[in-house]
Amino acid sequence: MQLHVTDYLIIAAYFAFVIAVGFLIKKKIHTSNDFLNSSRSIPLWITSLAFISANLGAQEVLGMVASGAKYGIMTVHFYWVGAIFAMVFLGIFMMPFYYGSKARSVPEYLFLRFDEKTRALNAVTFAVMTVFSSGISLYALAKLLEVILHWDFNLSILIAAGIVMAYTFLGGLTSAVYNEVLQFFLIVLGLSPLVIVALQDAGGWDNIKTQLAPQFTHAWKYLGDTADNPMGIHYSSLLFGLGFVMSFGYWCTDFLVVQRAMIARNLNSARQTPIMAAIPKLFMPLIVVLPGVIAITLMHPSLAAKGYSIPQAADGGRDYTMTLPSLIAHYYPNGLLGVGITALIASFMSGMAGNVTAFNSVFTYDIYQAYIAKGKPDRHYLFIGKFITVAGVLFSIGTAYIAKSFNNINDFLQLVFSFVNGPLFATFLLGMFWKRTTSHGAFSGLLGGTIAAAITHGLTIAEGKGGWISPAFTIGSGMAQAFIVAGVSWIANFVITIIVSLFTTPKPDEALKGLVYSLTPKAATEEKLVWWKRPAPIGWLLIGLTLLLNWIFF
Amino acid sequence: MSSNKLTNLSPIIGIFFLITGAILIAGYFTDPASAKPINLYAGSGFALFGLLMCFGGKLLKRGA
Repeated sequence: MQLHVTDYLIIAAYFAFVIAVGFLIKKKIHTSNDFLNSSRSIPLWITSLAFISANLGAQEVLGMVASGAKYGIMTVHFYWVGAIFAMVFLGIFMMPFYYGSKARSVPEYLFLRFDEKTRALNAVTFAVMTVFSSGISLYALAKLLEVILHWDFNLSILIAAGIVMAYTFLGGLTSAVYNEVLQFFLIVLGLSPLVIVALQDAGGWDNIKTQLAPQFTHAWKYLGDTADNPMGIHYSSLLFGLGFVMSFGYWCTDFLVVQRAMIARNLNSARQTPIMAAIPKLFMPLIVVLPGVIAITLMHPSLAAKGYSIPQAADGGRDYTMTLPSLIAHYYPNGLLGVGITALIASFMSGMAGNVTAFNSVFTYDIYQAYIAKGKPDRHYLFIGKFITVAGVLFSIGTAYIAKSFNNINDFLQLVFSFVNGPLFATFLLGMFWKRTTSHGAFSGLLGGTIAAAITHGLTIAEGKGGWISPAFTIGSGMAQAFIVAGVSWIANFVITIIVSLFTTPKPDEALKGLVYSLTPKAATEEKLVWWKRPAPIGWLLIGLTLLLNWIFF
Repeated sequence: MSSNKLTNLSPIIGIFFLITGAILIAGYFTDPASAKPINLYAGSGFALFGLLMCFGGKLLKRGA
């Protein structure tokens, strides 16, 4: 791939604009609440696009295209089974508690609902996870630019980290959120021409269905037996592991995305945020799954004349991660090539900035203010918030180099994250909807769920991974193994939390108002709004549309 | 924080896409390596989207 002056101009314009957004917002930042929480002043269309964009990092964009090539149309389950239902659930049922409780973060909600130890466990694991995720994003960006453009690895790290640091330091969360919106449009508009041109080249969807094995073009038909589909998964573990545990765990409890809804102007906007975000999310497979399916079609012998192939990995197999960059290189001339590269850079920087802003909020509110320095003047917390932003970026740079030195650290960290995140949704579900749930129950359930996840991973083996206790069960694919580990950890957390809660004393009802469903009066104002301004009708409409799409691609 | 002014950043996003569209269109006419019709189409699309982001809000307000 050889960039020309047109490409460099587009990349330079993008860098200049993201920093300019930081400078424009800097003038309006006066308090720690402005910097870390956007003073809950962001309009609905911005929070909705930021909500979806915070998840549209590089791992998502490159990873989903790669999965599209590896598993075919089944990859849409991450959207049409996973994301949409969880986003609608968050908007309708959970946001009233996050927003209405006036908590500034997800760990702070845990403090209000349960106690300090549950908050501390969640805050510390979240802070560590975000720094590592941010560093891994940075490493992956520099590695990609090194491979496809032969840019210097160290220079790429410094430039990308420097730009993210500049705009998050200047404008805090608001700056990150506005840049996420810019990044969202850039990714969607930057990759749309690729989908159109490549789809035309592959002969359209009808030809794709003719060329590929039916397992690659049906989402559900081959899920009755693990041996019948490329993902090696049964529909039951897909529905429970991905559709319920993993998706709800991520979309409903991960502060990185929930934070975008928590900064909306009012409760109704906060509830509408994930639901409005679900509308573009429903169609996102067109941008991030379809290119992978097209790529694998283009490798069919009948389309050999097109001259496209997925690059080879070091072990001689296909390097699916490089599917999207290779499609960009194949179809985009100079000019659009710059747009495509900028879209990739934007997705990496979006992921990193999202992690840094979530990290600085949790560190400042849930660790520093809670345990290190209580009751200081606001300007002190503003200073700490800014200081932690810089520290977070520096930690990320360090993590990026750790990831470079230890090949397996990414896999290891992703695994640890899944152990921690998998069971988390059970804690929130019981905490919000069963007033009898106690603090000791929640804490024991979280710990027990994490341990159960580790044990399940140690007893199962898939694609050579896991089985470190004893490889007692062989599973069809790493993805299926992840769904099973998440499912077991969720059940363990759910059961342990209930058992321990029944033997310990719950908080009095008075202390749980606004935090638990049965003790919180329904907002009367919502009933006066027209149906399309209320979260529930739009949410149900989206669920209907999602079911329809699943049926069309059955 | 004066949220009204702070949150009105869609023109900035619009200007970015206007500039990107202009670069693609200019590249089509001046840079031989970029002289592919797709750059012209995509550039026009980007510029149009940029204009919409810059003035769409104002037009909607006027219409209302």
